[in-house]
Amino acid sequence: MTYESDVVIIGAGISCAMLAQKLSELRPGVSIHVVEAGRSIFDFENRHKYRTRMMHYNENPWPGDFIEGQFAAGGISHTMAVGGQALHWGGVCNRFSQEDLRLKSRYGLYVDWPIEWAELEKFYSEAERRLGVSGEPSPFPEDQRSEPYPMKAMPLTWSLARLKEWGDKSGIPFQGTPQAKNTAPYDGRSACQRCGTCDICPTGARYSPDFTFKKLVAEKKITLHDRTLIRKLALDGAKKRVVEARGVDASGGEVEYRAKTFVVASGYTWSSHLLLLSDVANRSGQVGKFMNGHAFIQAFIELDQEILPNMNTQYGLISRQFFRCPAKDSYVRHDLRIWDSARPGPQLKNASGRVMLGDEIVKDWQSRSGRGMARVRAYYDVHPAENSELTLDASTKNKWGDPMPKIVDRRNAAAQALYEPTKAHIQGVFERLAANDHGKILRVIEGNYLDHPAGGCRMGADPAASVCDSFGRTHDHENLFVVGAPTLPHAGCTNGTLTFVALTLRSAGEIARA
Amino acid sequence: MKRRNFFERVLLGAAALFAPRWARAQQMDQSMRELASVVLPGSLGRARIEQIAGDFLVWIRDYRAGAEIASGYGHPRTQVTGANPSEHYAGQLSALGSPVSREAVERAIAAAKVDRIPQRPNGRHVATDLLAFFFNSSEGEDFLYDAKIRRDDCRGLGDSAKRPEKFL
Repeated sequence: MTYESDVVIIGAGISCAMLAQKLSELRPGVSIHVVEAGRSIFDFENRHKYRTRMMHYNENPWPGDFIEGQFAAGGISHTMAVGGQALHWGGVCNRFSQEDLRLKSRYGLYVDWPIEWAELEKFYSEAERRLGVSGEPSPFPEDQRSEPYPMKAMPLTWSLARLKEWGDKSGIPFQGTPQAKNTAPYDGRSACQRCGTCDICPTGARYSPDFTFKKLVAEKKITLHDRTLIRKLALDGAKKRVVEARGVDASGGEVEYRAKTFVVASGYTWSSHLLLLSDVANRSGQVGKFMNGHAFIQAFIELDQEILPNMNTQYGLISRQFFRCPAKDSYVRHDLRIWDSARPGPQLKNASGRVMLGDEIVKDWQSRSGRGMARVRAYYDVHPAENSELTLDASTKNKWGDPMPKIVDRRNAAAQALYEPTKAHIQGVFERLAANDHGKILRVIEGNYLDHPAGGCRMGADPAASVCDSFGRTHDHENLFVVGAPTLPHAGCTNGTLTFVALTLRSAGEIARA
Repeated sequence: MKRRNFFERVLLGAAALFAPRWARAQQMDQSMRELASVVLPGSLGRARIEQIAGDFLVWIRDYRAGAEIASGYGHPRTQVTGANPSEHYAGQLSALGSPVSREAVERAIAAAKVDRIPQRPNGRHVATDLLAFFFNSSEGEDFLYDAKIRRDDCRGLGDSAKRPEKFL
């Protein structure tokens, strides 16, 4: 079967949702095919049921959101469905800071991004409008915004208000974390009802891309082909343009998509994977390189405050105080987050090993649990080496015989040298927090993976050192774009989704002109 | 055969078929309540304890083996739920005798080599699974913290800044 359209977008995650929506506004009547390997999960009416099964049995709240045999070694999620990983998303919408874009020129580290902050900032505002972000302005003048948040911030829970008081005592100002969660009805979705299961929001208050796709399909602004895996992009004879995307549909039948413009929006894993499988956009050998994410260190701190857990489970505090630092010698950049935490649960045996039952268990728990507990985390900036990469692993193939991706994260030499000073700095911040309310650091845990991953199709001005320009247009093929997470040179020091979306919205204008 | 005789035979046949299952369910229900009265905190009150025992039986009934597990970051492959943890509960409850005594429960837990209350019922022993079911539930959390946090409910934003009411 062969399909023809103006634009083909491969991968139906959050970047695709925003791109398709904006393209259909900029170019009314443009024909857009969205092709997604996973299935559509558009049964909003079942969300309460899925939520209940998740709470009581730990079942997947998005059943069938994966493809058997289509897994990446070193990947950190297997979600593959219309909506992508943003189906499970906690909704955190932090902006990066100006420093992220000027690492080379300010600090002599890694690279500068090929985009100005003032330009990106406009698209942050647009992303916040489209997603529906609730938040409050940062207390730092460097975080100046051109537009207010579209919705007022989520109110702090009783516990978070206490934790904010505690955090502020250390001289580090905290605020509620901005989130794509409605604090008032917005864009046809209801206000948050504090259900505490943002992984699957039963009211729709937390944005997820399935809402946008459903609307676009209903309004006939896109044609959605789910359960269709694109396996190869084919070039014209001169290798200047992509002419066709080839794949298999749900029945196993071969399909071809022809279009004027092709956009790869398949996330940090499958975008590079498709380009490598197709041997396109890779004249410089940069596809799959500079895979990135940020490292993190977490602590549990006990303090003299009554802290009740789970009052709004996925809501927490953030400080942007450490988003910026003065010089290369002291380069440490991180965010700082606080959540309420449950105290360790009740025990079966007492100190002498005797089994406790009934009220004994409760008394024992109370004797150990008189104080409040905070979970504190810092995501810190690390920069990837060129061989921090995604490669094709010939030893693992899917049922169509395609080698599956393998991701190995590696830090560059400067980031490795900064590791110990960074760790010491963050430990110092934890101690500074613990100095109030008789805080005591109980445990410090270092993450063993890079969170909020990105990269593999790095943007840049130099075609020898990047895959695409700042709009995501590949250096090698004039009608092939990559958008979202894969284009990020590095992952900054806070959640990346808002940045993926902002960059994609900027690309949309260029794609519309193309 | 007269119509009345025919229906009588059908009813008797159905009773013969379902009675053992019904009797087993009744026995399980009774034993679970007895066990709950020994292992759960008495300060919950008898009615609540009976309710929790009943809720646990419903949880067992609705458990689905082989269902996909919720997987966040760090789980790039699909995982599924294991066998229903209640597989050996009938035997374990029967071994505790009736009425269930604290000593019998302690001996059974020691024999099963269970040292801690699991995160979720795992089938090692019905007594510790019942404790896991309760203490990891929303109600269990509220009981421990003596606050109606109601983590499983959709509570609205209006009251989130207030301390929840006392549980007991």
